[in-house]
Amino acid sequence: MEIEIRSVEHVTVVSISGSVDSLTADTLADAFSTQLRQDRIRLVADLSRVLYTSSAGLRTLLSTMKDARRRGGDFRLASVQPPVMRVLELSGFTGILNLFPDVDAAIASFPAGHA
Amino acid sequence: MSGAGPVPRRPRVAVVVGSGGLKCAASIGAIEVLRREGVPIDVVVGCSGGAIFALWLANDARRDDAADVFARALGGLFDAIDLRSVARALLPKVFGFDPDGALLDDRRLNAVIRAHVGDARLEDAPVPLRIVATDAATGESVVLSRGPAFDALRASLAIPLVLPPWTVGERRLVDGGLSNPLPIDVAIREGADLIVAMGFEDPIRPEVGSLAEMLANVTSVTVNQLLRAQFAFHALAHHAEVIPIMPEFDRPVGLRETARIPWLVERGRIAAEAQVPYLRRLLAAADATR
Amino acid sequence: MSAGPPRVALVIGSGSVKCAAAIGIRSVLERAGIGLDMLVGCSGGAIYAAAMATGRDAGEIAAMARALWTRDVTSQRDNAGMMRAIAPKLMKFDAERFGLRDDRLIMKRLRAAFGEARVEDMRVPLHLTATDFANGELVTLSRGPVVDAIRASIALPFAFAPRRIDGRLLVDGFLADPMPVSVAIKQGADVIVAVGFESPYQDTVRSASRFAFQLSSIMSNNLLKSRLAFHGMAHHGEVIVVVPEFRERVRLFETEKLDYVIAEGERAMTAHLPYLRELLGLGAAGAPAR
Repeated sequence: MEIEIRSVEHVTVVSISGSVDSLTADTLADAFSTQLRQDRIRLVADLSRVLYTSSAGLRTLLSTMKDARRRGGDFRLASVQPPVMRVLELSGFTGILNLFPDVDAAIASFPAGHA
Repeated sequence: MSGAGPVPRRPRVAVVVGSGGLKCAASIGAIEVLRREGVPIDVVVGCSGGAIFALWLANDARRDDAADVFARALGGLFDAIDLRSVARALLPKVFGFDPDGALLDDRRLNAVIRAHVGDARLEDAPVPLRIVATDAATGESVVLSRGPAFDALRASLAIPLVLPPWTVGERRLVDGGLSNPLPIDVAIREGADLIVAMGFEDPIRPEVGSLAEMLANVTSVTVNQLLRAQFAFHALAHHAEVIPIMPEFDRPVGLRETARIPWLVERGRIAAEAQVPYLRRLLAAADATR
Repeated sequence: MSAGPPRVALVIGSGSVKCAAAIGIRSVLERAGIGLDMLVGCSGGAIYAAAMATGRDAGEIAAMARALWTRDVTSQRDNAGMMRAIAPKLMKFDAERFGLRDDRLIMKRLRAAFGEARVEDMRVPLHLTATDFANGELVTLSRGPVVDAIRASIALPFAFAPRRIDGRLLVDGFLADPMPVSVAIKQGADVIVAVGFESPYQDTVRSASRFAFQLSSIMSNNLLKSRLAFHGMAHHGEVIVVVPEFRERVRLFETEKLDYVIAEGERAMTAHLPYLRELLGLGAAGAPAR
């Protein structure tokens, strides 16, 4: 699994490629929490190149969301691919997380302004 | 299995085969894939239709068509059901109704189950086996781990309006799917680190041409929601890795449609294959540290 | 987005006249100086959530409930609907219009109560939930006429016909989730106060329709618990579940018991108040402890 991080104005976009599962979850969690600790609390995960996620992967996504929200920010998903979408639906995540068709829409969904 | 470093021992693997009527035959295809990959199995949990295949797996599922034959026999028995009589029964002033009765005389079905399991007991299976039913009085989930396999199977299969409840010990039991259609929690309690969860959602009929079909759709919605809710909770709540094998069915599969069994088996195989890459990585990672 | 004062949501799940407990809950919150930033309603709860969102006070909502929710809204048999059920081939069965009860009375009363009000124009952000009949998924109604949204949220299958909104055929929200805490989470609430009710089990099951309701109650209650367990874990903040205890039985339409229900709601909420105050950073006297 590979991670690329970039900033777009007040939002941090984390692009992930590969599989989000128990073997990669810790690396991903560390990457997200590093951003949050640096006060980058508006996070977007670009999942266009993620084809698989497991329950351990879901736990990482959830703990990132909770951490971001507790800090007054949010964690939103963009470009979710069909196999991952199915898992998100089965696991109730589509009911609690905000999903967007692409990264631009996810970025635009955050109110403009300061971190 | 939270990826916190090298796994000190082989992960304890559970296979859960959930409810879903004849669709559970898809588990045959999935189980074949697991066996081909050499996935070790430490505990098996079955619910309702899934209990048939859980029993087969726990008894070292062999590459014959025993389960296939069994599924066909069951399907044939369900030919006796007249769905319209279910619909008529919703208007009790016009037609009478007996809640303890059933539209199907269960003697033939009982004979088929008996022929299949004989005097086997749950605790004698080579792999630990748990069968889930529902307490008819309280709606609670009940786990059976000992006693005649016949009783466990018959209770777990007691689908409302199809088969009468079955008493085991002092409890009147019905279909496990009412309380726990995908009993991942049972696998968690058995200490599983890796849970292969075979779940069979009911596709919703796109066109509803009768009261019976409307009732079927409403039932499907409820069952699917409960299945997902339980998957969702357990996927989150525990350290165990839950691997879903949930074949997608493009249209409903009735209890009687035994001609669709080969197709069901294939759907199960396809759903299992999608999980193979990750399963291989997991097992390799476990192997690498031993 | 800032980490300002915590946003408080009230989620009112299904429960027919028991949902009036929410009136008592809100009264306790108001007296404690705690305002609501969001209202979510499902099924019977939708009526109370919408009424609160319009800014009505407790007395007005109770009066509205008494006028609206009487047994005669579901005693109007829809004879054409009955005919379609009995003889679907004679009269074309149309799921979209199928309901055993005529909805004209409830619609008239809803219009009298809410007129042309729109969900997006409410004083307090309001979200009502229904279930998509095509796939069983939760649908959140955050815009459009309030009367329409409530009608969809209470569209109990076989009682009322489904309601088509924006191209989707919608039925009672409780089928997807009897207490939709997920909506509050998704909409960004911090502290969620949730009140919901289990479907009562029948004392005697003497007809197929009661049997069918018993089954759906069993599954629905299991769904309620599973979803709550999941959302409790998934939410970044606290989910405070208020459980009014009714020592007297409250039947579906017993608005005569409204005062009792409201009082029980107050009692139940009062028990949670000290913790809620702490969560919101309020001192013992109700003033912010900053």
